[in-house]
Amino acid sequence: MRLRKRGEVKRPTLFMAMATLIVGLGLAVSYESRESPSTKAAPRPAAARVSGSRSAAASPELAIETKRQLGVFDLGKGRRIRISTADTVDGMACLIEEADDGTGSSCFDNGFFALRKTEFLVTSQGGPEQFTALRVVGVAAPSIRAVTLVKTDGTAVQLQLNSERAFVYESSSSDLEARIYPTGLRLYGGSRKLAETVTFPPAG
Amino acid sequence: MRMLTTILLLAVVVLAALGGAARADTVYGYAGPGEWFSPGEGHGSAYDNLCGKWVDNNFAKPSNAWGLVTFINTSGGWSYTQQAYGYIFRTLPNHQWTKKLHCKNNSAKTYQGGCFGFRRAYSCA
Repeated sequence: MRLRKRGEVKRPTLFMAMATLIVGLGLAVSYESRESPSTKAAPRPAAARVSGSRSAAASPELAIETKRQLGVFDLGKGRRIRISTADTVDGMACLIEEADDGTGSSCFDNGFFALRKTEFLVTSQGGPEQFTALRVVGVAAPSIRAVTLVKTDGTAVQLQLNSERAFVYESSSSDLEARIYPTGLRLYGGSRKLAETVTFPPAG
Repeated sequence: MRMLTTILLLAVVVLAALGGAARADTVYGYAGPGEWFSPGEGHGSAYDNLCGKWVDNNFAKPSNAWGLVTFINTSGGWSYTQQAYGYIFRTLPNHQWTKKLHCKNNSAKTYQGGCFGFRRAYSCA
């Protein structure tokens, strides 16, 4: 056994300490690079990330235990869309759609239905002048009994609400070719009384 | 000799650490935060490339603010467009194509927000 003088550092120990320091520095630089873009400051999102997801620094950080499925809808030709809700860890309420063409969500600081009696997403392909596919996915407030979708040609379509009051509408090919797009939702309460009309821009 | 080995090992560790940093994925803000969005106002990122691919698009804005995010190809065409109130988040089923991110206030109201995306880094050297 070799005895060391007081204050003497074993060479392998020194090496390990230096290596640890350098690797730590490298990881710190790497993390900093994730958080700070090279030319602009990254906004601090109100909703953050899903722990362990591939886009850990950008996507909403959902409290997984709050996720609640509202329904799975068949869009035809083997296509399905799953609608769910979940809260973020910082208290936002999110409406989530998951489909073959990706995942989309919208999240709200003050929960669902605080500002309108429906929350919804409009997802489209093509454009900005003409869409090749377009769907409206949403959920109505508990007080709502029926929802009608209004199109730019003035016609309206009664939407099917499931037991969770979730709905999906997909534009037909003929409507898309004619550039007829959804532009509003009429929400009806008990006794078919109009409770609210929510309008939105028909195109990008 | 032992010192030389130590220095070489240290050099390898340093290079590995620096390489890891150079390939790091990045969250990149391309508008805001706190940017004022007038009606019709949009902002876009640069196109991605072999070294880094956009994999999602985010528009952080108030719950009463309507807007959209989309992915624009090199011909100017839009794909995977998402319009909604509140904070919008949109992913892609496949990100191995050339695109840029775009966010837009397509409502009639002015509001504040910020747009950003996640860029996955790939080895391109």
